[in-house]
Amino acid sequence: MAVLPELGLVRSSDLDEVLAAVGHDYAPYAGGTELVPATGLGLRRPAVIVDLKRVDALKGIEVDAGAGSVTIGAAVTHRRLSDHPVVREHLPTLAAAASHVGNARVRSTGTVGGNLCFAEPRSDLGCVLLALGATADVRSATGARTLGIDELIVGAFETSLAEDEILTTVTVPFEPAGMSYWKLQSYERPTLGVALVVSDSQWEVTVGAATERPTRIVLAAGDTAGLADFVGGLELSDDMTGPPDYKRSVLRAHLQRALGAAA
Amino acid sequence: MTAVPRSDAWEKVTGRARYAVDAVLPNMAHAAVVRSERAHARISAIDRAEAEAAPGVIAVVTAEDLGDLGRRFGHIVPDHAILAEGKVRYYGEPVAVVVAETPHQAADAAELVWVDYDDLPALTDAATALASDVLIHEQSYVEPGQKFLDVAPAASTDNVAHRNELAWGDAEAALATAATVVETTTTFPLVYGYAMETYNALADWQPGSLHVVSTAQHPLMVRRELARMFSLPLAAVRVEVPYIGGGYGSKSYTKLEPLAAAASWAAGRPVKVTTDVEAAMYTTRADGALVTVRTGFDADALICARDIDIRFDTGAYADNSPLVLTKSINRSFGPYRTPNLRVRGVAAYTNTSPASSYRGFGAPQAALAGELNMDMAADRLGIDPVELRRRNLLAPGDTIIEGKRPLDADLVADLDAIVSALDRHAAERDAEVQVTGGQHAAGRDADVQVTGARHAAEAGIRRGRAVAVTASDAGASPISTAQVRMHADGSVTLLVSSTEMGQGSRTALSQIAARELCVPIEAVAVGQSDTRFTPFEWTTGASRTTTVVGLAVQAACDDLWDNLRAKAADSAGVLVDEVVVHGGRLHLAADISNTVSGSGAGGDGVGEHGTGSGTGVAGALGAGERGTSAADAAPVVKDSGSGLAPGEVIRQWFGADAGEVVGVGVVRRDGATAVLPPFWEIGAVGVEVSVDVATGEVTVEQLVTVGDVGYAVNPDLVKGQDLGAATQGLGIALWEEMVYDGEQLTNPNLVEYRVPRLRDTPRRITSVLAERGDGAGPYGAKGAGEGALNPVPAAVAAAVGRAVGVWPTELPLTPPRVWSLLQQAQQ
Repeated sequence: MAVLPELGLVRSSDLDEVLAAVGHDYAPYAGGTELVPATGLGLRRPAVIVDLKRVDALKGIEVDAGAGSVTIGAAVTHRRLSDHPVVREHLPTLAAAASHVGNARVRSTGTVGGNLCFAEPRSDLGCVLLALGATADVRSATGARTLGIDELIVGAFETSLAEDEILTTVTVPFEPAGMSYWKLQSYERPTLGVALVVSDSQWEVTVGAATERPTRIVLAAGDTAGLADFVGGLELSDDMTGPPDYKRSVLRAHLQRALGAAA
Repeated sequence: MTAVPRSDAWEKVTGRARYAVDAVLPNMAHAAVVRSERAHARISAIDRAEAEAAPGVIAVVTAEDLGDLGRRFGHIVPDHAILAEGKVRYYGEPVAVVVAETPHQAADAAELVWVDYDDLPALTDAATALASDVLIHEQSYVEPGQKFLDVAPAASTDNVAHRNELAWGDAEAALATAATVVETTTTFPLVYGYAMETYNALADWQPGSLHVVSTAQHPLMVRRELARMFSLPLAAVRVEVPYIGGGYGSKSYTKLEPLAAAASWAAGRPVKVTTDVEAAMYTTRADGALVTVRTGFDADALICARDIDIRFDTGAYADNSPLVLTKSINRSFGPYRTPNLRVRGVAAYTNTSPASSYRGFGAPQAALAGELNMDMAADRLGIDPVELRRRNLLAPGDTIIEGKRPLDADLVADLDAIVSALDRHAAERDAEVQVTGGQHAAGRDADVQVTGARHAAEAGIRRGRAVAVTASDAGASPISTAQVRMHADGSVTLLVSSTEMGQGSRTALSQIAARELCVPIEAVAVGQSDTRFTPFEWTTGASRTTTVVGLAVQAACDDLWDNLRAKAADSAGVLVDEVVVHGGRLHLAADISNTVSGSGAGGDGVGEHGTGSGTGVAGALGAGERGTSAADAAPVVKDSGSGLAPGEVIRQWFGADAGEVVGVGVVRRDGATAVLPPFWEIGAVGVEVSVDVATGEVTVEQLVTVGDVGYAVNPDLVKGQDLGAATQGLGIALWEEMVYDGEQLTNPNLVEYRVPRLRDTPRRITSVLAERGDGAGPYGAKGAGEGALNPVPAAVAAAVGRAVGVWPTELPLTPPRVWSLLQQAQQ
């Protein structure tokens, strides 16, 4: 029965205090949209949850016009992300994708960091952020490092974070021209997500949701053979939302529509 | 009548409505259920020592602790163990219950109960179970001659929970000589009657009494089973049912109540048992069905025979499925003229969660094959599917099944209403295309494409339209009682045991009482069902409440008027015949005869009195033919012609500003409800779907429902029922399916068991109310609630078949399944 166990709570507005607390049995907690169900089902058994919601350093959305990037705190909710003028201006596809995550309750409490760090394959943000070339800033009490999204998310429900590390911010270059995100979503989570950045010279294709983790390829524009190889070689999941054949067919149809090229 | 606001709106919207899950009793303890982790296995050992030693634990209860309590329940087949005894028959079956001071302590300790199993072959689908020598139930639980209604369960031990048949003429011979024979086989998925409030029960056993608060749709049925199991008189068992957060049939009959009661008996404390969605899905589901329909047509496309096979996957325990199967058979061939018929049904035990009642009660399962079959036949015969139905539909007054109530509906008129609404929708859509140039107006994010919303003019979209019609022998047993207590100010408390689970019955029944008693609806109070105080009610299901309970309320109001007349006559010292009711007031006949002549009963009060049941006083009052006695005993009428208000009569008789007069109404198999069913519930819908060729996604863009209810006591509530039922049908058609992968469900949660959402509702909806006054209920009413679900899965399947070019055989029509159909169509 999904009765949550009694949990200890560490709550602080100070990032260093939070970092000192996080570790084995001490689970970082923000929106709870992943942690609470996982704990209810007994998949996660933290003794203490470490509340990140009061740490201002994790809640910022800052634009760096010089660098041409936006830095987003890990505890920013999907809703704030989708509504924020800076994000809407410089990262409109990310804002729009965030506005379609889950449902209204999930968007109001669920966070960017939670979404990435649970590494649920059937999600949108990882795919869009990988397509955008975002980097993840990771901290622990003893150090800091910066990872690409594909270095952070290493498999289904698997990240490269150590037990004492948390994701603090993601830094996202301004959206390039020719970007789009499309998803097939028949259930609560997406079945297939495709982020494209298309220019006269290049096709950047990132596929998510149906793969263990978001997968990206950069092709010369018009390289239909390369595209076909990429699509044909993707390992697509077999689950309630459909068999791999189906997902590959949907993916091909979308790419055909979007790129005018048979994949 | 009028669409008055729901009487429960305020408390529900403000969160103050009390549901069973809110119930508490002093000294209450909490249960956690230890559930089987095998689909089929012998229990070799249960080690509970560790759990018993855990903090806060009061008792750990297993089957062997139940002493001389009745161990099993089941109103048709008493096969259902409170706690698994000797063996488990489905994954998720309760094996033990841990009672502790807090829910956390109970949940923690439940993980410390160690159960050892010896595995048996798991028969997780009906075909496997029926072909297997392995028995799910090794004994029969049925006594000779045992019956529930018309259902006489078989004393079988061959994995058959029930078998039944309906036949007339010679279907085999007629099919052999038919000009055309069309065969359809469909699979109806295992579905869960998702309700926002899951099952829960609070029980307090004390020597000589048992008090239960639960989510039971049928408190009186639960009382009967508990009384038997605990060897108590009916009066010693009190079952209370506050608001229920959704029923849909899934909460009919007995569910968690015996478990809570047994835990209370063992622990010596009131015990509460709750379920999460996963446990609820393992508690009850709807019967899955494999149905084959063969229909023979003559040269004029008239049906000459139908031969139908129905096979249910009933799960580990029979529950109500034998009755569901019987009804499914009755609902499988019509509402068409069928001169030769054979329907055979079997409900198979399987090692899966037990199936029982679900909105539609066997009709959606059968109609999926039966109505899809009509569309396939139309195609084969080269006839428009609506025209084929028109030719074959039964007419008002026709016999559907010999000995049952003749058809009390005009189905051709219903069909015409659907077609005209669909045509109007199509015209609106076409006009919109011209205005917007094919651009879909919806969607605020131009830069994100989420599949789903699309438009007629888009490439890669195919469309299909279909109608479907069903008729169900609804209303259940016409056994109902109601009481109206009129207070000294003329206001009224209505007592019924019909449960309010969101359908709005308290509002509709209040409206009937208010109309009968000529009081404003605000002057009528209705409370929850409570077997200690509210009168007998058979069930709350089968769309019966407005019709059957409504008649009981009318009869109670008639009885109340009768009693008021007697009190008024007593006070006045006249004979009761000399007091008449007019305009909601009591008059001396002499006075009234001066103001109302003969049958010219045109006053508001007479009209508001309704045309009642025709029994006793109701006839005299309702028909407007007032008494004609010339007696003129002044005390009753102070002011000639104005009479006395009922409250005045009460106060006068008691001689104080106090007192109460009670009316009792009874419905049984007599009068308006002498012939069963009490009414035929019609389901008549039309849909138009679009299919995205690339993704296989189906969007139901148009929906038309016809609420053929005879008379709508509250039109908004009827439309709400129709829209809700149709939407639930869309869930079955497109998404809902309990998926067993081996022994357990892969999707026992609402993330992966997808129910319809607001955005799934069709873009254009028309809800037609057909009010032809042709029902046996109050003012000519018939029931609503299930009807609009029944034809929806079939209609969607047929519409998708038309769009795709291949007839579906299996629901739900998920995107990958529709994509597969599209692949087939290309070959």
